[in-house]
Amino acid sequence: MFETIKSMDEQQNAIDVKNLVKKFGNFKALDGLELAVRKGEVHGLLGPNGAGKSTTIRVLLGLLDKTSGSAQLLGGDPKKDAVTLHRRLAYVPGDVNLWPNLSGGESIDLLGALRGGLDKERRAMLLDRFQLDPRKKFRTYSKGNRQKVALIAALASDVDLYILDEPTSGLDPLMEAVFQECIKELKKADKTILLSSHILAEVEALCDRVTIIREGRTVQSGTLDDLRHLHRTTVKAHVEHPATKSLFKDVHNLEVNDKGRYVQFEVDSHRLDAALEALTKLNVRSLTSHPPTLEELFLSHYDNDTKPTETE
Amino acid sequence: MHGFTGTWRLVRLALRRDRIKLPIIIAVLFFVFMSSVAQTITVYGSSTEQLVLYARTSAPSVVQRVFAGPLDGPNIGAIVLNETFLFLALAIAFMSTLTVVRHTRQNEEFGRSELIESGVVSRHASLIAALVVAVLANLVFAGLATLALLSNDLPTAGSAGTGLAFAATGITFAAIAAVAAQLADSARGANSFSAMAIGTAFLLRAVGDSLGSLKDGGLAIQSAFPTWLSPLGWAQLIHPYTQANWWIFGLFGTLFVITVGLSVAFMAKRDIGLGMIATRPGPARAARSLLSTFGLAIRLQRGILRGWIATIVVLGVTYGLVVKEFQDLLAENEEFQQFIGQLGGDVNDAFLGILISFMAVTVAGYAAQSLLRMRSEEANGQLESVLSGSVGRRQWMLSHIIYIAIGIVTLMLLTALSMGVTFVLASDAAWSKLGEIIIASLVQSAAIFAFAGFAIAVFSFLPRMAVAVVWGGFAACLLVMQLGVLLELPQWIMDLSPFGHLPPMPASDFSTAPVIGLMAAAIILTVLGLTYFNHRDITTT
Repeated sequence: MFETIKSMDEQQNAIDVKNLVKKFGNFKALDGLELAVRKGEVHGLLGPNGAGKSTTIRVLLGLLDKTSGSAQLLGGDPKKDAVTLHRRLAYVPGDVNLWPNLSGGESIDLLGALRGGLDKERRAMLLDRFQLDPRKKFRTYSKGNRQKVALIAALASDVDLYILDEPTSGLDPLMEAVFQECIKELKKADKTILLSSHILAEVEALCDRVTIIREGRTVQSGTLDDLRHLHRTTVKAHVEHPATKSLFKDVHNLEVNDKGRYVQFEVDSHRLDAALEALTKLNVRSLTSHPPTLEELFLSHYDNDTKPTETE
Repeated sequence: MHGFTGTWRLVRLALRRDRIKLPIIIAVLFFVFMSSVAQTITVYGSSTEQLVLYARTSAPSVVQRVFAGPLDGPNIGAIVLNETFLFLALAIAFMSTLTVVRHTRQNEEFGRSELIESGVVSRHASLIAALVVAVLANLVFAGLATLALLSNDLPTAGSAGTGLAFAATGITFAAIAAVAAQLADSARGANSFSAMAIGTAFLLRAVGDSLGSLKDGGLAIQSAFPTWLSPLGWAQLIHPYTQANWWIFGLFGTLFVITVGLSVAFMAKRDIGLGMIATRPGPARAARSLLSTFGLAIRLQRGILRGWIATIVVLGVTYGLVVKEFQDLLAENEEFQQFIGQLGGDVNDAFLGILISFMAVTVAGYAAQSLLRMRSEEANGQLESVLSGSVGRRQWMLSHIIYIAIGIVTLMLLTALSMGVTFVLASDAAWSKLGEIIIASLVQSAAIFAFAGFAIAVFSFLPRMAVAVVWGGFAACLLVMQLGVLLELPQWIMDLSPFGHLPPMPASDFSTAPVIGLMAAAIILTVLGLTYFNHRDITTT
């Protein structure tokens, strides 16, 4: 059984979710979600609260049954093959609630053992890097330290897939940096990582590809470059000859200030050339342009007015 | 006043949070009190001879002294209090400590108080607010208790004094809980400190009362000094219907002022979120024995079982003594002998059988509490972390079930040993009686297993309602056993409880059919529960 799963997933994605629907009573938490995570990549799962990130992860872990659609994890069925599949994955929940009276060290060892064992040296190294005192009782840890317990238990396991549900929301910037280092190391070792996150800088720094979801549906998926390509570039320029608004067609949020000497606008990528042509005629003194930040990508999908691509 | 800023708002918040919990607790306690008062008066209050008979048999009894208190003569008011006061006072004490801890330490532990303290509230506001709520709850109960006594035609002053004695007890323990909430750094810790304080108070007065001397011709008890070290003892020593020692309320007042002062002082000294007593660190590495689902189940379940073992042994020893005293009573009273003689059979055996089946229902409480631990693991999110490991759901569930099954048999065995050994030693019975008691107790385990099967199925099929349904089922079993015949419930309803089906050994003979039936029900329900649990969603809400 284990062997067949292994040979199957050699050709497949680590995670393959198609048209996934999950209903709780009448409420549709997931409504045709698509998610493909390739082997060896760090994949960001982005979405606002209630978008369905944790529900998706719970289906992938076999904790919830899907209503319809398909979900494959490491080539197996998340629910039926849970026990064998879970030897090959490690999970950090969004809200880390472990046993109040167990120490951090005990919790790490226990979670590791239930998964099939953990690497003692890595455990010691991670405790040191995350500066966690393993002797404190779990209930006395702060939110950040609780997350460290779950992170260390996951990162100290040698597995193929790491599923991390907002793992750094309680960490301070120093620990966030340690976390990013750890993820980069895993990436070098060809591990697959699904990272659900709110922290866009983290996603930009770590993720090869991202999937943005909203109200249980996938809004967009691809590399950050792909996503940026679909969006507007921001251009700011100081010019010699005074500009007037009428010179620029098909641009957005146009501003002309400083008696026409300063121009700022956003432009879709296929109209960028025309806009720059108009600009150069004015004798450009300085020009800055930047691709859309992840914030802008993110926000544009949650602003109801700017999602013409979505159909019911 | 500056020191109390925000207190009133927090009182309203606490009342809002407790708007269902407290009224239900108070109402239940009131009805229990009301009906036991009425029952006591009906049973013992019809003539002076009966009052004297009660006092003469009750005052020398060690069991009565430990579990009822210092009887003060053949007075109907005193007898009513002897029968009802102590256990109600215990319940009120627990209601008060739990309320205070809920609105102080628990808020801190869950981080709610950070949000509250960041608002315009004084440092002590939450502590004072919790005490105010506890005091209010106690005064409401005091009023209701007084009404219950007055409606049974008991004297006014004594009835009001009794109500106030309840309130004084509750309020004093509320203040003790306020100190406990400063000492411990978790709600659980604060609750167990408070429970220890209540337990110590109970024990001190139990020792004082059982060492007390008889007075008034053997109809009343003069408590020994340890009773005076216990607030529960004080409450009983007021003797509102007979001695009216109102000055004892001064003791309560003094202790209240001291404990509240102490808690306020501690609170000013410590940091928010921390306790005066730091939690001891745990091991840096897990012991090998913890590293499996069964190891984890042992770790999570053993505390519950230990508590029940202590309870069951105390109850068993007490019941052993009760049977012995029942025997003595029988020997003295010819009328009673004739009455019992008409029933036929060995009276001791019949009585033992009743007590053993009562113990079985009690142990079902252990089954309910420990099985529901599975639900709290699920609801609080620990199960999610366990199942994200390479752990089958059935494997996890069976780990708990196996431990609890062993726990049930252990508890019934300890019931038999504590009760049987006490009885045999106290009444010079043959040691073969112990064997009969052990067999009778183990046979009763079948009914507990059937109840456990019910709880397992409920956990699996109705996870969100599991706590209510399982405890509701437990309460129903208790009710059917205590009052089923009295209420003239239809037989089929009484048959739903697993506890009525077994023959009351050792008086009756063993019969195989009900044991097999109950075990079959237990196994079928467990298998159904295990099977369905494998398919259902893990729900945290």
